[in-house]
Amino acid sequence: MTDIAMNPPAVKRRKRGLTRKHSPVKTTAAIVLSVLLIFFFASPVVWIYWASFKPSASLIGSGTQDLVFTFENYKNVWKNDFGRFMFNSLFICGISVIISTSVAVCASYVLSRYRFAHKKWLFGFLVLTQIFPWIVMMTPLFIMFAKFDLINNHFALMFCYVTITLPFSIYLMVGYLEALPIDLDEAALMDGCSRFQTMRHIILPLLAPGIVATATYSFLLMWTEFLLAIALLTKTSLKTLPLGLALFFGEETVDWGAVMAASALTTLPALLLFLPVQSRLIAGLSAGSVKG
Amino acid sequence: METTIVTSQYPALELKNVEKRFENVIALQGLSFSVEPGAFVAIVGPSGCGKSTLLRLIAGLEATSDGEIWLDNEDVTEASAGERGLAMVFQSYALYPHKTVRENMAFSLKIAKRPKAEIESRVAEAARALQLEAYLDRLPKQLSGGQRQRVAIGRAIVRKPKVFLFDEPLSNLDAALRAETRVELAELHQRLAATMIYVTHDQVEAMTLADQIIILNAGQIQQMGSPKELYNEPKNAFVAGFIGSPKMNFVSGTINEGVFQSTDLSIPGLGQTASGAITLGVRPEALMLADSDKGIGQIEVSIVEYLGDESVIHGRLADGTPIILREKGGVELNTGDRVFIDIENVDALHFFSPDSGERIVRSPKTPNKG
Repeated sequence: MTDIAMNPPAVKRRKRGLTRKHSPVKTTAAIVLSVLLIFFFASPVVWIYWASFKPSASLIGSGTQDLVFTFENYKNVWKNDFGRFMFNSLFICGISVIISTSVAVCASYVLSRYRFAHKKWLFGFLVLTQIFPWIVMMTPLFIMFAKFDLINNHFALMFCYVTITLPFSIYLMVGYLEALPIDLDEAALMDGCSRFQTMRHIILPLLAPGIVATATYSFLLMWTEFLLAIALLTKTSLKTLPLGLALFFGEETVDWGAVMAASALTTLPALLLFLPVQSRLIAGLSAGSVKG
Repeated sequence: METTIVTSQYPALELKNVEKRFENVIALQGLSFSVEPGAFVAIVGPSGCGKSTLLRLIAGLEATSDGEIWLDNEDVTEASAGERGLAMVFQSYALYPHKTVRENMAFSLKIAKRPKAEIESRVAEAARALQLEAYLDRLPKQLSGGQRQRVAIGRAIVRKPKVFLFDEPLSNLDAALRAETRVELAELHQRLAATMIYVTHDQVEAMTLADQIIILNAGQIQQMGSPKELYNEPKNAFVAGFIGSPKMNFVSGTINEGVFQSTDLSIPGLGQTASGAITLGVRPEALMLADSDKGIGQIEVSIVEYLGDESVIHGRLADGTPIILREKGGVELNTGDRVFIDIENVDALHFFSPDSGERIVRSPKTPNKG
């Protein structure tokens, strides 16, 4: 009897594959494949950081100065107003992300929790807006903003960024909200909460992984956006990081060292902002993928 | 736990002709009933009958399409859920997963901006009554199903609500814990003397817990009454079939000059009863095995369930009508055996109209059959 009682868990584990032993060949192959994949994805990034400390000439030339280490590229980049571009990007993306995510949270709450006529159509329309390529909208947008004298205005770009990121952000957030039982909202309503208090005390804390994931998506999209920025911002002092980066590509020559330093600096804020919340982001992504 | 003293002269809850429509679908129709203060009322019915919708209307989580809801002589039809002063225990418990047991129980009082000392004492009081003191700083995910259930009840208790609403609160528990919690709920009701409305699909829960039972079917009240009334005097075939386990046997036949006659059964001595086509209803506990060819008819045994103190015999009449009967102790029967059955008492028989399903009352009562 004891044997029978003790056996089932072991059998179960074997069935689930948790205790399955891999052959050494399979294990080695898996490790080699993983290393190759990591190398494939990480090597360009590592190379950018490495190259940003090398003299420009050594990057394209014969490689005779391989061991030289210099901050010259960073100094050069900084002298060319890169700090201003970074501030502009942080300002535009920061405010746009806050607006886009806040609106997405509210809109997705309504779409997820309220019953109203034509809800499915509205949600379908939101998703449908994603199929239009931005390039198609560039001319009408430029004309519209020019008419309102909003060229070279950061708020015009913010408006575009919020509009562009909003549909997919709402779509993502609806997925996360659908994974939260509506009973929680109703329990809070029974406990005397208003809808706003329900959001603040119950839904938002539980939605944090989803909010982080959505904000990350929006931020990275805005941070690297080039097309709208180049159309709407022509004054150098107003330009964002991707435009600043493009300035180092001259008509006839390219300062590759400066390009690498500028690229390294461009990736830095995104890394600094999102590394601390990475675990929450992963939790959010997995929750969405399983339940959303 | 402090006892709630019921002093109101008005019904704790009253529904006046309440109706609920979802677009073109009528979920609830013309519901009117009142609940006395301190009563334990169970709402039962099959899946999709509208019982949870009814509870949500009372709670204020759904708006009525028509009619009025009154709580303690106050019209709350338009009031929000929070304004009604009710507490609800959800089927899923709906505990806030990011809050500890203490925070879950204190939340409603915090929202109501009650003084800190009062919140602490009320939470401590409820925790003591529900034996949750050791778990106050745990998160819901660190609790067992039964403990979560108690936290959900505790969250309701701390509010000292006008009426407690329970939405199938035991359906997520295993059989043993369900029976245990059922007793605890009955004790809680006695101790608090509070009005409780309890939705369940399990008629055994309703029979054992409630003073009054409302049976719903297709959005309409079939009957409201005490468990005894529903068992002994079901208003129609639906109620008769719903209350009691195993369910009542129904046999179609005719009645003429006090004799019920179907293809396989013959029951004389029924007194003056309407004549014509009729449906006979007889509970399994009112039937017994007959020793010889006496009795009201014969069945072919299909399955015998041995339950220790009794056996439930499933069989069929020759025309295929299923018949269930309960016998005390074990019986030596096999599938395919043909046995005679009899009734203990003709007063235990029920008659229903084959068309409307309404109960047909026999009169006058006849003496027991020998």
